[in-house]
Amino acid sequence: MVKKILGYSYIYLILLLMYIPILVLIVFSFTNATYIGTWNGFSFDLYGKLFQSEEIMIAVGNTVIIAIISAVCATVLGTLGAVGGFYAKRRSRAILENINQIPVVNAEIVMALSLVVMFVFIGNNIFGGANLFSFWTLLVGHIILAAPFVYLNVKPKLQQMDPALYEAALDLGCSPRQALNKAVLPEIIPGVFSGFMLSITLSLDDFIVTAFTRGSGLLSGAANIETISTLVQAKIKKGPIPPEMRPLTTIIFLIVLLVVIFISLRRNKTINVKSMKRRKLREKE
Amino acid sequence: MKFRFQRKYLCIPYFLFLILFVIIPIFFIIYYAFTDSNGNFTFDAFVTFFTTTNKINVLVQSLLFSTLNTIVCLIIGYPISYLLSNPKFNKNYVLVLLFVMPMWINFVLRTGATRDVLTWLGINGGSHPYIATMIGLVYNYLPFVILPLYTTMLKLDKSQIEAAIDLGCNRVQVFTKSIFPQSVPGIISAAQMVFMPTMSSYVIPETLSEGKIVLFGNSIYLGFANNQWNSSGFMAIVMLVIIAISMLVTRNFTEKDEGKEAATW
Amino acid sequence: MQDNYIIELKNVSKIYDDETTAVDNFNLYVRKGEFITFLGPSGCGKSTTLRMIAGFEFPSKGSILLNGKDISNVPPNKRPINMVFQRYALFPHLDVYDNIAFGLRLKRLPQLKKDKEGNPILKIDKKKIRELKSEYHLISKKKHISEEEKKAKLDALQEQIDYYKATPVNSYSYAKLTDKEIDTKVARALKIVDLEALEDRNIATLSGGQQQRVAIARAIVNEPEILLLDEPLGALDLKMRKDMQIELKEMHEKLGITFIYVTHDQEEALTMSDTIVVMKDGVIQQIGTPKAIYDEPKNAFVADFIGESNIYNGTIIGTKKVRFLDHNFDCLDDFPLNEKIDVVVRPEDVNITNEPGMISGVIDNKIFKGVNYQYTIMVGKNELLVKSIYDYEVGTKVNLNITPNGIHIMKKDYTVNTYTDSWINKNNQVMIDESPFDCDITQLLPGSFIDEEGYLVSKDKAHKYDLNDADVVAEIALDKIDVVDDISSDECQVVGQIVDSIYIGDHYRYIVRTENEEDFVFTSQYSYNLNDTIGLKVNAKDIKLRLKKEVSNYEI
Repeated sequence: MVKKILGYSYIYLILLLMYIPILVLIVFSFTNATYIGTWNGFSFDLYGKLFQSEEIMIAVGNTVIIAIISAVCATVLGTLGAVGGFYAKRRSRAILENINQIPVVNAEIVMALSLVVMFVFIGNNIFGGANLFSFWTLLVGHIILAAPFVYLNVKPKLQQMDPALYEAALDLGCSPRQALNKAVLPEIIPGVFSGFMLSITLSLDDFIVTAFTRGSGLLSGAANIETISTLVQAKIKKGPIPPEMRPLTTIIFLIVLLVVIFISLRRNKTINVKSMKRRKLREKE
Repeated sequence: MKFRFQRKYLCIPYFLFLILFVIIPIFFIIYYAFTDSNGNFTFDAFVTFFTTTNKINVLVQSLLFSTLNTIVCLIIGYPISYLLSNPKFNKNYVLVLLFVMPMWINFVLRTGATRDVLTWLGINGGSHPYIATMIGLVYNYLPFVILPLYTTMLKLDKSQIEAAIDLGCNRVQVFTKSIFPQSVPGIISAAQMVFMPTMSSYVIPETLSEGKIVLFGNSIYLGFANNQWNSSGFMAIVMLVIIAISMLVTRNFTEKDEGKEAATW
Repeated sequence: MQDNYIIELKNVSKIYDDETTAVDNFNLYVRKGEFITFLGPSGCGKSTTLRMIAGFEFPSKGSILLNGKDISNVPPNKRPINMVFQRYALFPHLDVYDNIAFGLRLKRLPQLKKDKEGNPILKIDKKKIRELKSEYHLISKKKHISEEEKKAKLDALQEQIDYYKATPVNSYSYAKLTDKEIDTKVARALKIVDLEALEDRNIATLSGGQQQRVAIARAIVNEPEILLLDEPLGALDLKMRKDMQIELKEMHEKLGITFIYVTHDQEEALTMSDTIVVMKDGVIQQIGTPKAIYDEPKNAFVADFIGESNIYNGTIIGTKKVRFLDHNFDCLDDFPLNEKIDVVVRPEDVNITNEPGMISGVIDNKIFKGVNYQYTIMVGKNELLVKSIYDYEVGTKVNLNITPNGIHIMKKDYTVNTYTDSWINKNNQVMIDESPFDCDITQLLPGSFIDEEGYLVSKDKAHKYDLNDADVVAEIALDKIDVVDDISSDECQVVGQIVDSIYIGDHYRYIVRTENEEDFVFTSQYSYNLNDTIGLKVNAKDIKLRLKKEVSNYEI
């Protein structure tokens, strides 16, 4: 019993310490004060300011757009890579997997820098000094960040799959492409999905690659693309987190909380619509 | 000749993508590291790096911070993972999710919040840069330690632990002779998740020490910001070499582990 | 007549990229509605053959004909053949109903396209041309067929391609089956396999036997002309397996389609099949009805693999007379006088009698088997397995009779090891399987000897020969090869794995295969396990050599 109490105390103590900064921001998002630590009475003023701040809204919009587009690209590329690699000869697969491992172990900053020097070099020497940095270079950076993890998420699903499924589909009349869609894809969908979610997370959270590879574009127009990360970084370099960003933390926290709850509840849902349809079909007779 | 579809061809787009944006850029880094601003071949960056005390200091300081951060995270995280892997403490995975959840909140925002709270408490980067940076690092990397350790602990061979008890081990011996050796692969991968990223981190030391502490990542970033491609490129290569070495050191463990799994299949 | 055959395999071989031969010159004709079983140990090529019929592998040589039409290079989705997979390969993301409906939903029924007056619309069939071209490409890349054969096939295809390019043919539109039609068919298939109540169930919630039924239903619902079954009962427990055997047999009778069944279980093959094809190392050993295979095995391998048997070395001593177990028996087979042969006697063909018998022995061991007793009887120093319903004590001396129709005589598959690719190295050793063996090369020239320099000198010292690199044929008798227990010792000349073992009366006969796929057949008193790695040695005097060319070619 004592052991259990000690254990729980330790767990909750560490949890509390971990959440203090976030909780403090959340608490002080409900008061209109410049600095945390001073309480000017309960109010939603900061929430109003948040939504009026064009700067923040643009950053949020950019972040979401980049996250979705880069995650879709990374998921498609990584999944195709994993499926193709799975069916390739052992040697080619080993080469592919070793290269895939490089961005996984490599430091983000080294990767970002290598992309930048390449883009600069190509811009100077092939496009006559043109500045290549734009939404597209940023997108490439984010895809490289995420695609290897998609590959690593899909690969085990392929390995667990019964290799005869593909052949069974062919045997039952599928063309090779149909067999991939109808037999292989449904098997790896969980891996593809978790790879996609991971890609979104990596993109939302990224600072280094964005700061290195961004150019003008998206909602920022002619200015450099700002995401939440780069905007916050620029602000906290000069002083404390601006008051109107505290509500942003609250909102992000709530969204994450909802997603977590949704994921843990999703396991229990089973509704068989199909069987009802079939029964109807026979009742008509 | 007619093109015949084969499943293995599906990996070609990804393969080309990796070649184009992973392999080739690394060669560009090497190119920049060994040329001067006019594109002539030179060892300048190499010589400067190893003769400037400033740069060597940054390297040593980064290694120290990384090591310390790894150790602190492991010390805090190991007992938590062990407790979480015990169904008595963690019935429905919710606690694990709670530990992982901070990872999903923008880390720059979290870092800023940590800094602001520490300033409020009087531990500001101006007066206590080392403590503030360490706290920030541990805050950020703790979840990365807990997750791999937790998954390894879940797979602990319970019958081996029972066998150890049966053979007369006391609690301490059960830990040192059975639980700890079994969790070594988890410790290795947890350390991998912390060590290199700490070295190359930029936002955390920059924010929490208010620019006073420069780690390897900051150094590369500053070089980049000041258009010093060549010295930044060389530092990136140093980083790559360190990564390669750490991969080689830990490889033995992971390979053995994979071999074991293959054998049980 | 050929018309009776639904599927024919003609000289089919499968050679993989790494030059291993999985199936070697396979010839088989299957009648419509037959239940045919490929039987053999694992790795004998039975599954590869089945996969070639299904279309997952294409033959390297030879052709497969379905109803007289060559389908060797037709992809699996275009063949009216369905398969039940070893571990079922059901789609886990679909329920029972959707698994069964899978093939039906892909089916497209061709409907002739007609213009307003009701005349068929003629069009160039581009799809057909594409298919033929892809087949052309496939054949042009084949490595193992002769140039003439390749050219003949390619020319025939080219002719077809040209024909379709020039001639417009009837065109079709393709219609899906309606939900209603699919439902009727699925319901019927579910009824055949007795799973009506489980159609909405998730695959993961089914037992092995139920999954098995779903797999069968999924295949037969497409009304294939041939149903292929790849060890379908392998994953079931014994009781379940027996029940399913009977059910499969009934299903075969009810459906009236051809079943091709693959198994390594001889009992399964004997109970279910109309015809059994026994295979080993990619080669057909025997084709016949279960009774013919059991009663008249063609060689010791078949005899040993199917049922229990006693195998002995025997000698023909007269017309329909054979000597083994130190006794002269009458038999039914006619073989040349003095030929050394293998004799097979089934345990149930030996009668224990209280009267004076042909031979006698002492009961060494007895096991109660339910319906009868199984005795191991020592006849001299040979063991004899006997089944009898009568109870005798261990140690009893009994008299035994074997009737002529219980004695099966077959040619020996191995009489001596012959190595045709051997040569002499510079140390006057013979190279077999890339290992040097000491040998006596003076046997190549009577009366010769070897001089100090290592040259062979003729008796009269007039001629001198350098046999370095000379090609020879080496022969080693089965009983002249000895086992070396320590494979790291110097004594050991060659190392390999035991790939085959048969007990012959009082000794074992083993086949050891080396890394280079060379076989060494030898006999031994001692028991070794299959797949053991052992070392072998041969005494120099026991290697018989024969030069491929005249010895004069090597004179110096």
